[in-house]
Amino acid sequence: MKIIVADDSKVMRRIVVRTLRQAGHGGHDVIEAENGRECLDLVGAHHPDLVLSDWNMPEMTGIECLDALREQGTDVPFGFVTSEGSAEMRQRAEQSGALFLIAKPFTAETFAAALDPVLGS
Amino acid sequence: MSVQSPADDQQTVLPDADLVPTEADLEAVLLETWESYLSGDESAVPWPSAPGDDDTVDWSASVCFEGPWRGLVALEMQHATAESATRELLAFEADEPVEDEDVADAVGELVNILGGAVKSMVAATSTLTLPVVAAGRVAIPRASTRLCDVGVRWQGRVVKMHLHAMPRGAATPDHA
Repeated sequence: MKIIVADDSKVMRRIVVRTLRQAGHGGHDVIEAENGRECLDLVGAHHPDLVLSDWNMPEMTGIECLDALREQGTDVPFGFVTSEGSAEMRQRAEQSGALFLIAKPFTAETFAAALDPVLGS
Repeated sequence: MSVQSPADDQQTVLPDADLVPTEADLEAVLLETWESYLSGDESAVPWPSAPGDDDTVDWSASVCFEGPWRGLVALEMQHATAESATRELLAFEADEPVEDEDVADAVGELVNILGGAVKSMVAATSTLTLPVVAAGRVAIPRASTRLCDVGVRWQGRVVKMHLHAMPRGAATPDHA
């Protein structure tokens, strides 16, 4: 399977990839994006099975990227991995069609609980 | 560099106490973040400020949140700590050089995580800025009020986290 990891921080992209592995999802192809705009382009080019995106990013935020994808009619499974863990943000994410929101700091168990239903355990 | 704006002279209205995370809350957030991403060979331990501590700040970062009140979370550490954290976060090999860009990314992401956690303690409706990183101490607006300081000791050195209340109108270009 193919997963796009979008975060403006290389450190966080690395942490997400490591946590994917620790959560039992290390065998997938991972494509990295530095912001929402790049993520949007990469979804069109690679047709991933899942997008894991930060919320706050320069150029285009994660929620703007998700809204743009849905406006295009793209229904790729989309989840947030973000510092924005408030109830309001979760509601906003859900309204836009996100499957889940993982708040930082997170654990491999949190990842597994969110990703297993999407990718299979 | 932070530039003083006229609005910085506004007086900070201190938030109600029940909207301010306690020292214990902040310490727990700092420890949890280190435990989640930087446990490595040595866990961080609580380390209240004490006379004789080495207060050198080689790297720092801050992030602002806006909600019922405006706050700023700052993180400060020495170069060796920042470099070690960067190595661990990026899973570098022992002989792999660490560039300043990598350190800035690591320190910025750490304060982003901390700021997000603090923000979520304040209110459900707060928003968070992108982090600002400095080699040295980040500039804090003059009119801000320091509310709380906590520290942890990791790999023999102290890492400090500060929470400030900011005037509503105060905006440095960095945190605009």
